[in-house]
Amino acid sequence: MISTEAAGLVLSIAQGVVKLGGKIDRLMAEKDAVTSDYIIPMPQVRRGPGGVEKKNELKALLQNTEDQIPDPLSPNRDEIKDLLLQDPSDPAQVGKWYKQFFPEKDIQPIIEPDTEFVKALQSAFPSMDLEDESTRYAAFCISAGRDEREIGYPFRAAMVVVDVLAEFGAENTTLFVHDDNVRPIVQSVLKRFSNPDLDTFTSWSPLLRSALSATLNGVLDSKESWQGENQWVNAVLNALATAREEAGDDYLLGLFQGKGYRLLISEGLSEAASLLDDEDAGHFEQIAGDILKQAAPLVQANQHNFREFFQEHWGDLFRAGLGSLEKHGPDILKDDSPLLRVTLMAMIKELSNTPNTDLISHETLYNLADSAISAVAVNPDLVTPDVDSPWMKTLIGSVIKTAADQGVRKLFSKKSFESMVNDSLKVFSDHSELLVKKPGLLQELTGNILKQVSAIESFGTEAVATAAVEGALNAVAENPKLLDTNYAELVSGFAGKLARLVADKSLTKIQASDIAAAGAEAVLLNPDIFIKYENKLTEAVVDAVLEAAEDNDANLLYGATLVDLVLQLIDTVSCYGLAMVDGGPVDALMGKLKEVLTAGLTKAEAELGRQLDLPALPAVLSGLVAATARGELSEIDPNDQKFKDLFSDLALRAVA
Amino acid sequence: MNRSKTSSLIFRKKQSLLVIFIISLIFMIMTACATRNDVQDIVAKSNAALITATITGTGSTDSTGMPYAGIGKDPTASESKAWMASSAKIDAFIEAHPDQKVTNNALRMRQAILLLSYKQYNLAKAAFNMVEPQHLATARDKALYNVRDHLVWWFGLNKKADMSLSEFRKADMALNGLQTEIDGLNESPDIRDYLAEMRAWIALNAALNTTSEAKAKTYLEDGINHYARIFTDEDLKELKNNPKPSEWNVSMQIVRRRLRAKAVIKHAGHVIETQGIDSVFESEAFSKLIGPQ
Repeated sequence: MISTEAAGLVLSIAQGVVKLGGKIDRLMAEKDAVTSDYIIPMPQVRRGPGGVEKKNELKALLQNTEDQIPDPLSPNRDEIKDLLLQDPSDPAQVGKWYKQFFPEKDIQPIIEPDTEFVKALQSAFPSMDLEDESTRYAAFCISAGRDEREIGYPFRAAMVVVDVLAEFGAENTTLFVHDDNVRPIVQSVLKRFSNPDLDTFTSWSPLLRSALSATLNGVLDSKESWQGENQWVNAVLNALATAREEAGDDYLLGLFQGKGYRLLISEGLSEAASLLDDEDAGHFEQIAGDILKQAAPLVQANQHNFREFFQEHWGDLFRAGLGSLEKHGPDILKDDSPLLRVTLMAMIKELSNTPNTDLISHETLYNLADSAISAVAVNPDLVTPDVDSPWMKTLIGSVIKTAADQGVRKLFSKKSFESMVNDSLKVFSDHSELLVKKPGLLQELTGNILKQVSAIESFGTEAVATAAVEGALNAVAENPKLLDTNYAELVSGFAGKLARLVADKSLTKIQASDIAAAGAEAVLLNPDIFIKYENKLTEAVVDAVLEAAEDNDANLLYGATLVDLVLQLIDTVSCYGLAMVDGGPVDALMGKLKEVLTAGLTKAEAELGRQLDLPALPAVLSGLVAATARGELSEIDPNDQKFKDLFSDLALRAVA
Repeated sequence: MNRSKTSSLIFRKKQSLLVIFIISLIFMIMTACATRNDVQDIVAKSNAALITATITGTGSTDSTGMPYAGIGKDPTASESKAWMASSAKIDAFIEAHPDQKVTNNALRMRQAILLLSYKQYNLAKAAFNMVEPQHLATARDKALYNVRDHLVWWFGLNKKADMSLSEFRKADMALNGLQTEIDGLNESPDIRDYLAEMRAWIALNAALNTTSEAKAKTYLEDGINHYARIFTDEDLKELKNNPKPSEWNVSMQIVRRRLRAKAVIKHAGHVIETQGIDSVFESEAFSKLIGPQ
């Protein structure tokens, strides 16, 4: 009797032998089918007269029978003539007529190239027995030619043996390996090694990949057998195993193809591990697993070395890490400051949603700042846990909400935003009662102004916005009654207009800033009139001055003179605006102002250097406007004597 | 006594193992040949049918006195039986072994050539269409697959009729397609030589059929110039100077290339004569061999 164990072994051997036979049979059958010779006949061709010869004979026939009665070519003469005039004529048609008129010449002998070859062979080698089938076979056979696969049949036959032996080894590992710890590893590797039919590999690369993959995956399959006490090693292994579960066995192989992948999972992760304390091993494992899972399809698709892979996909890996951090971050950061947690998580989320190509760009920085500010804006208490003053809390919240609503990008630059907010805060710190009365003021003012101005993309518009905000806040501080009006809206509309003029290069940013500040504060001169006309008086002044300056060929209105004139005219309008409008439409004011300014400038051209200099010009012109508003000038004409006298009088006072 | 009993048991155990092992070996031998035998049978029978199609009885002639060759005639009843049996065997094998892709596709190519040789052009086309080219392994099979449309056209073209203008367009496509393949076959001279010769015949046929002297000259020169490139300097020297091929000490494959050229050269001379063209070829040897007729 043989033991059960021995019987099992024998059956296993028998099974292996039968499997070996089957596989070798298949492989040899493939070899015969692929490499056997063919015999391919060579098709026949015809000899006989050529197309040109046929055409020439038909042409001659046409010519020779031209005058014959009856016409032997009737009724086809014209058709044949037309056919022969073509070049090339259709050979099939030419052949048809040729056959009809020259049947005796239309002999079509056939050439059989194979028969000609046999004749030549017989003639050259008379002793060769071409009746013999094997001789004829040798004469005609066409070999298979180059097999473009890298691995030949001898090696593939050897692989069949290896395959069967591996399978046998996997089933009978106890016979060869006695160490209980090593056995599961060997068994796993052999089992995986025997899984694919190794003989089906026809090139080296996939075969070697398969072998390496079997080894790596086999080792990982049996990780319980060799995991140690180092929890970081265990964490990395578990992360790899998790990634492999989703990505498939090829994943591990991909990671090990090249130095870079080794770096990625060994040095890279080890370094990351050293930066975290032991308690974070669990989180690290989860994050590493997520990164590896994300990397899996990229690694598999990669045909290049690690450098190229990293250049192409670092963003994907980075985002995978961020995505994972987003998921596990709350746990990791649970003991840290809530503010840090909220802002970090917001920024991580933003980054994880950013396409690779945008990761390194100023746009991303804006978006990051926005996301952080937006996160805080949802819960501003996080920023002000130590601020006791309610109004200061409100103010900070207001600033944050403004920034969140507008977006950092629309604040033009971080610096200008800071300066704007700082200036605003300075005003508010001096007049904290404003916020008690209307907590959302800063937000309303800065928000509206920024909205208007930021729609215009031009260098320098931020200066206009800053000046407008500052001027408006000063005005409100001086006259809190403005809080009950639509003042913020008026100022923002004016700031938007000035920003457009800067963008059009009608004003420099310095001029516009001065005008913006003055415009914002002009309300204080006569709040009722400015509120009533919704600041259109100020706009009319600016428009009139700019148009008059543009029409003036001598270019007397520019720089400080222009700004000074606007400021003085705003004063004048605050005094005489109602009289000038005189119940009519406010738009008419601009026309009237321009008329006076144009006449004054014409006169000034003649008087400059005589009784007038440029710094005095704004005072003279605003004096002319005031006189007109008072009705002292009936005729606005630089040649009018009364106009001349008034001009001289004003110039004298201005220069004095 | 005990030792003797133990020895006896061990002996019997070894005997039993040996018996089982021998039985399994017999099984292996039985299983190791089944598929291969089928393929070998298919290859042998299809080659026999192909050689019948190529030339049936050296030197025999048909009723018109022309040399007999299966390709030029409808297959006889017995010939039909041969190709049909071979083709059916290939179909049966493929159906029984659907997972053996490389084997099956090689056999499918063989089937297509067999059908082509027996004038079964539609069936040949269907067989080509069933080939999965990614599983073709050899230069010959890949090249034949790549020029399959030109093969079906050229085998099926009625050579006794004059070519129509549309046939000339197909000829032009075949000349281009074949040359592309030929250029990549220098390491597989058998199939290269076959396709190059076929290309030369197509060009000569077009040169003979055309009614334009200029086109005849173009086809002729293109056909011969490209054909001449497959010949080595040694080939050309022997072809030109040595009238005794029996003195060539070369392989059958080289003998075949040189001897088959004689029919091409002869036909090129006929084309020159009947079409009245004055051609100059790149190969000095071919110019001399074709010569003025």
